[in-house]
Amino acid sequence: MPDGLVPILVIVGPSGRATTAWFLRDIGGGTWDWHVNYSGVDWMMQEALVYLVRR
Amino acid sequence: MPARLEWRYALGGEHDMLAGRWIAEASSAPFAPGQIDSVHAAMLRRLSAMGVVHPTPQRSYCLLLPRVHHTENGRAVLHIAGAQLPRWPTGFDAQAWPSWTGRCVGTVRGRETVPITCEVSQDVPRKEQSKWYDKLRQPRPPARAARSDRDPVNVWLVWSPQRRDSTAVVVHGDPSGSSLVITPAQFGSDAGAPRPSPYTGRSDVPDRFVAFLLGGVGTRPRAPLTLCFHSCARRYVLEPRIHTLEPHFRFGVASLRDVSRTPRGRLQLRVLSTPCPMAWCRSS
Repeated sequence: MPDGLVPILVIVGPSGRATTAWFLRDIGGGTWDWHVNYSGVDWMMQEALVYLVRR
Repeated sequence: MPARLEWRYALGGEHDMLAGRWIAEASSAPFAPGQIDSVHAAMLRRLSAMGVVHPTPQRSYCLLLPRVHHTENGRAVLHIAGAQLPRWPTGFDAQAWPSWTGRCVGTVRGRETVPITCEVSQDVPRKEQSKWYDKLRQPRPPARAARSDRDPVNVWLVWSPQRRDSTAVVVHGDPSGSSLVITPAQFGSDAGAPRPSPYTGRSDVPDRFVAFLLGGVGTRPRAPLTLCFHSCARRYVLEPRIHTLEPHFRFGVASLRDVSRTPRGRLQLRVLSTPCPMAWCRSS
């Protein structure tokens, strides 16, 4: 990841509407992860986009 | 420099990993002079069609034809730049810019006509960049910002002056937090009386604040959007050509393996990034 940039994850629903942007968590070694509760949400219908932002 | 991406997919106990690594390849032989001429001709035709250059009898250009890089499989890459971009981006809200840069990629297959695509962007003057940076980083509400029960402080709105941009979204919030808020734009103006809004949240002014537009989601706005807090006592103007972030990559959640969904009802994924060895990665 270029210095100073942090990935954020944007979830887009079937209607094409984005709801929330989450910062991925830096767990070291150039690796970032993301956990979220999915109960009650049909995640399979979602599309995810990753953007890089300067924090 | 010719290169290819080599992907490795590794299965894990809880997490899979997809790692991409750039592999440098031997330099390709340069194109023949006739092929270079064809690439240059295709590039000029493309730039003319895009409205970057305007060939007219009244206007003359001094063109320095860029070097044609032969990467792999007949792929030709040109880095281009120019002075004066009189109307960009094309459309009713086009503006004049003092200079521009771009990149064209074509494919030479031994034919005279070379299929080519070009990406061009205006060079925003440094003075204007700092102006937008200051607007986004430094605003504070005026000392006498109106606050009352009828004018709740924890309300925000995104105004768009164009009806067609009302599906655009603005991402904003404190970058030191764990998430940012996404607010769709509303057609209208921030002038006049404030309207109620369904978007509520933190009422205080964060120490650090960031706001930007999302490329790849909803309508790409053409006109600046205004993010208003406190009935526009604190406001941020987002200029699409400057404040739009493009997605780095996208994927369907359904394409993740079942193991991404834990029995505890959580969805988990992991992104691994490796340093890019190319010089242009470090400079961009």
